[in-house]
Amino acid sequence: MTQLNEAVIEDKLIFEASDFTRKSSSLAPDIDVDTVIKSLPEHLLRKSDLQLPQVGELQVVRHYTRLSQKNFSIDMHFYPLGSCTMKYNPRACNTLAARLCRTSSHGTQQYEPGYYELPV
Amino acid sequence: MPYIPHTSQEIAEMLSVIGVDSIEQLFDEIPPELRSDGLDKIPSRRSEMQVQRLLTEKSMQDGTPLCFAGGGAYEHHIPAAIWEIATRGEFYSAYTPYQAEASQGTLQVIYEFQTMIASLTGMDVSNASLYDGASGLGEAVLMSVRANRKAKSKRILMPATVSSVYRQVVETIVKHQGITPDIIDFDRANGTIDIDKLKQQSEPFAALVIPQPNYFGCMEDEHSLTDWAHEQGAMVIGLVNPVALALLEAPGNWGTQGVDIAVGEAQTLGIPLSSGGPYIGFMACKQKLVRQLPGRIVGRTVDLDGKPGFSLTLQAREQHIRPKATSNICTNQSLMATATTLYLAFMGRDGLQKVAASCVQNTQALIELLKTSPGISFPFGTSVFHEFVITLPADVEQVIEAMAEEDIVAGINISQYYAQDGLENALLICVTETKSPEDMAFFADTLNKVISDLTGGAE
Repeated sequence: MTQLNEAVIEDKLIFEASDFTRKSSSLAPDIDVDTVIKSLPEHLLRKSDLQLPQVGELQVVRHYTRLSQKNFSIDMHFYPLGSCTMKYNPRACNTLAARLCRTSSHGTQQYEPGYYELPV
Repeated sequence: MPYIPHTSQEIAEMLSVIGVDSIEQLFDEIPPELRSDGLDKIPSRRSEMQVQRLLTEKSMQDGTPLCFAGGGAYEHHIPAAIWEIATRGEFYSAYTPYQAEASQGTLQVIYEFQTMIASLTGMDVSNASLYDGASGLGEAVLMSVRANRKAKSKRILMPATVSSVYRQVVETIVKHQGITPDIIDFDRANGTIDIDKLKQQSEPFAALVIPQPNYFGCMEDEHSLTDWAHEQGAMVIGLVNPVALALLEAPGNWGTQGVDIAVGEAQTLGIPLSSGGPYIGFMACKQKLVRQLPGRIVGRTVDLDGKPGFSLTLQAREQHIRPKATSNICTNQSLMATATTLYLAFMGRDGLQKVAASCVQNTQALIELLKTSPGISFPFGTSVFHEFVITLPADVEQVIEAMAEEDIVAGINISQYYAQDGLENALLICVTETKSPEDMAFFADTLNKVISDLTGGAE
């Protein structure tokens, strides 16, 4: 096997790309946080700093895609380490399991015929 | 077609290398009477196309109801990019990072996860994750007893405002180690810990658990409870919702000293409800307790060339190193931790605050709608985060069933857990950022109609 181009090696933490003046996320609801906070008991509100990274979506995608390249994995190599988790699983297993396990299926729901009738 | 696609020549070569004549010979050590004749309970094989069709049909049978159930597992919007990245082959399978050289990607992800959890909780150090919030609480209880030998007690004060399901899991984990969680009653008027009954505790105890928000969605008085427990020589375990921590004070800053251990369920951060799992527990503590922390910890270091790198650290605590480990946990929920880290990276501080604020706003909006509903009352008031209790003028099970007919998961029947406390026909309702004003109006209208039908219009 020959290598086409050199892998891009990520050597920073996600926090190092963070900038709180950046407003690039469309993933969260559009809401005025300060107005809502007024309805909560003042003495329980967070006064300590919340140090989560403030990074654009594409930067996050690049950071973690690059980190994925720092793993040995069964898709790329023989992977003799580990016990139960290192086998190849057909791609369909993941795709189809995800189709049944949806965001709205709550564990306390009384009856989900499709889910509970498996295996057939 | 067999799934393992080796040719007979490749099989012969492999057998020859290890000096074995046949595959059968590999199983010689299993006595014949213990061998299986075949897997007759496993259905015969189907092609991928057939399986895909079958599962698609099954999934469509379940519909897509509006979910207003919470109780520890919450529906939130999950950005599309999370699972696209988390299910990459490099993360999806190869997540046991024992050999650091082969797993720098996963190790750095876990390191970032730990840093985010430490920041959210305001604690010094986080582990690499646990199975889920309930078993995480069990681990926190065990840890508090190990770490607080001064108390000379194996008693834990466990408020009834902690989820009954969590309490059952904790009981199962700790009961054979002589540890007893004593239940502290709740105040009937406001749904929080009964402070008078708590302060009547005269026997020593190792730790107090403080849920915030509690199972009813109500807010405990975290600061005075933390200080009181510390004055008694006990530790404090903060059981927290990580989304709420965007707005509510971090357990590391409760009272004058902060809690000793913070623990909780991180399913809320990018993981689908999926009918109950897989989920992910998190646990963080003060620096002085780090050697008592169960599970894995990833540390950042430098290699021989001075370049930064990551590895599992403080492994003398771990089960695979020594018999007297801090815990039986010798793994972590790496894949779920990867999704959680991605969620927090995508959302960021501002995004998480908006998600939390939207939960509060929507919950208050539904409460306003329900205030005019005949026969419904709010036994614990309405000062809540994203979950609240109502009592119904009709049988709660029948209401839940009738709402399901209209494609609404109405909430959780909590009378099943609190019947002896006089809490009858009580429904625990959760509203997150995923609900639109139309969804909430539909919920309120449907609930009113269902109650009217069940009570013969008397209400």
